[in-house]
Amino acid sequence: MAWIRPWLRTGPALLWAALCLSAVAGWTAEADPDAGPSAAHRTWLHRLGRFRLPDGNERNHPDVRAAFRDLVHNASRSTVRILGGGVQVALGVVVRSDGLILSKASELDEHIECCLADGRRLEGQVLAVDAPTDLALIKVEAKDLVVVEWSDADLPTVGSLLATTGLDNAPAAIGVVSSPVHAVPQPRPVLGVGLENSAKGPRIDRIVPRSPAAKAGLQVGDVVLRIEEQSLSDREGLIAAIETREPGQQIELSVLREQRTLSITAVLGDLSHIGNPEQAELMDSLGGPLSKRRFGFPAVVQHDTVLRPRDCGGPIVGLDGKTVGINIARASRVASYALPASSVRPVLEKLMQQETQVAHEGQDLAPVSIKP
Amino acid sequence: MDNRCARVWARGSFLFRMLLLLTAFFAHAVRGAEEETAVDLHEIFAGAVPVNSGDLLAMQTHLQALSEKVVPATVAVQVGPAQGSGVIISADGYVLTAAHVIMRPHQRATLVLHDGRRVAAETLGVYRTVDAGLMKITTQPRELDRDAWPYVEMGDSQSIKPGQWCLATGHPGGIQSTGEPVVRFGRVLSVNHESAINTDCTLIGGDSGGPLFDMDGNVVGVHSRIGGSLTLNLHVPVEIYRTAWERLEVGDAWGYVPGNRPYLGVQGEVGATGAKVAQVRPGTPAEKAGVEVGDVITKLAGKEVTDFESLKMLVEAHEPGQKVELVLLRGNRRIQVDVIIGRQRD
Repeated sequence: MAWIRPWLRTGPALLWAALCLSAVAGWTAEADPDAGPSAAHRTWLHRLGRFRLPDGNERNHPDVRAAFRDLVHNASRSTVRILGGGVQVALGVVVRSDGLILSKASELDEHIECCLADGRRLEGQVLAVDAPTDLALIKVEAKDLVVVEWSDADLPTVGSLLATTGLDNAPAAIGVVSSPVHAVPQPRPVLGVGLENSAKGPRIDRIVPRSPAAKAGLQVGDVVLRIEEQSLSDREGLIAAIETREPGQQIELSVLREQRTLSITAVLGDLSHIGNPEQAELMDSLGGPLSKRRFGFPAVVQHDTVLRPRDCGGPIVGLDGKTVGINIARASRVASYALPASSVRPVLEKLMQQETQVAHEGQDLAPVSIKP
Repeated sequence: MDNRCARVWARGSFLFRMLLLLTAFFAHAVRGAEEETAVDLHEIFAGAVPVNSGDLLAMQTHLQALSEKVVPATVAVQVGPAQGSGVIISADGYVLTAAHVIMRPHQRATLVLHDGRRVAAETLGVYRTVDAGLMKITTQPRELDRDAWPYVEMGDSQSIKPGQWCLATGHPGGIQSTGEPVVRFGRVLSVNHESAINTDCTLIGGDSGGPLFDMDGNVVGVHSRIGGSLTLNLHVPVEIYRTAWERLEVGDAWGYVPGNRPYLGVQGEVGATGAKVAQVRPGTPAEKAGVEVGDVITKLAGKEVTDFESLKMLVEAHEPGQKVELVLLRGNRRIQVDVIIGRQRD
């Protein structure tokens, strides 16, 4: 029996990549524009790579996580598993003993159930959402829940160990702080066209190769008459209309081409990936599943815990057992983000105020968006 | 100041033991007797598993100090359109990186230090088969009011074992806006001394060329490539750099990525004097450039060709797609042609 298993036979994912980023193409960028890099890479990696898969040595091995048992004990009791359609969509954290829970808003369905640490499974209702942090306040009909204990300590420094709690005795996953607290900017949307003004409206005079515009089949000479329902008179109007949208968003364009009006659907791209969208996609695809909402946070603790999107929304604790924040996004292969406790608490107060007001006014507890 | 730090740290094992003592003491002082470390920190980092929060606290104290130490030696690398990472391994500014970041010798590169400041560098050798590359900072340290560059030592990759704990730094996703590299922590999963160390320190585009550290803070690997699984992160063993140092330092380029072998398409007699062409294969770069049977190749890209062996080495020093000048002797005529080095998919 061969103790070294060729990696080729061990997993479904055969996609390998060298790790250099290039604004043009892969690693033969300047020298060899005619050939795609991936075929060569793959051959190379096939020959070099005969690697044994983990056999119990990995960081997240249950034996390692077991060492965190005592210190995650309290936070686990404040952790909630949130179900949508019967499956876990997020985790949550108990913030008030009479049934108030915080979680990641963008992962929640309309109908949710909350599994508590004591085994109860209750229907939950989203009371309010804070868009900038993507936090949602949820209400369940329960009393005497164990409220999370927020950490008052300074933000954990780079190299600090963190544990993401689940409902079990041991944490769901562990990691370290990767960089000092920082903001995560919103990516800017891009269509990938050059525009000039014409009598009929904004006219396309250039199309960036491999851009969303190129993929949608837009052509030089097309005049963009409308974006969704909005009529356009000049290039400034089109640019402004795109700026209000987000990368990944699908848009319907009404286009005048040789006296015919066409309807063209495009998916907006990310401005920072415009030079090489395939590479960005490749890198994203190598990260495992990522959170849909993973950009645009005011402040995050970046850590290297491997989470699934449905593991976000719950507590993340330091070695003193106190909760340093709420996991808010699986951002890439190398990064997960947590909102630090110091940013969560003011948002929580705001959301609770909102909830009280709504309740007093006797209205339905419909989702309320709080603008920044 | 940074330099002195680096120098002190270079005496790794002594200070490491000091630090261990300190962390052990710290753990006692803070947590009290009931949370005493159960396992020696040295044993844990060598591959054992922590069992209680005392162990974890000792690990964390060490990790925080280690991160502070290794971050200043980690740089972002920009060469043309390519972005990667690198690590300074000497006071005079030698920088290890990956071959596929710098591509070829004697090019200008820009490095971004951890504090966001930029310095100039020159690319040196590339050993493409294993993905090892070397650079040297050309900016003088005194231009940034320093005596020397912050650096870390090259460690011993030969003694790396699965289970051992390790730390990775780099610039995932491209140069971080602050210049400050991103830290990851994991364990060695497997080792192949001829090709790569596999860890679960997750890497992504932009990390290429960045360092993998052992728990003494010495460089044991350089990030190279990843697989679809989150536990397939490959690093070039640092011993390969040490073995190839002389060629890397003078700026040699050699080896090739399989499927990416540079070639001309001519055959000659090995051992014969002079590179006399015995065969030109159809459809090859040589044929397209007009090389004929009987020609004697005397120069490639300005360098003398003495026989087929030297021709082979000169071709290997280039990359597929590069245009080079060939000088041929055809009878008594001296002919100059341009040829585009081809790619042999073997």
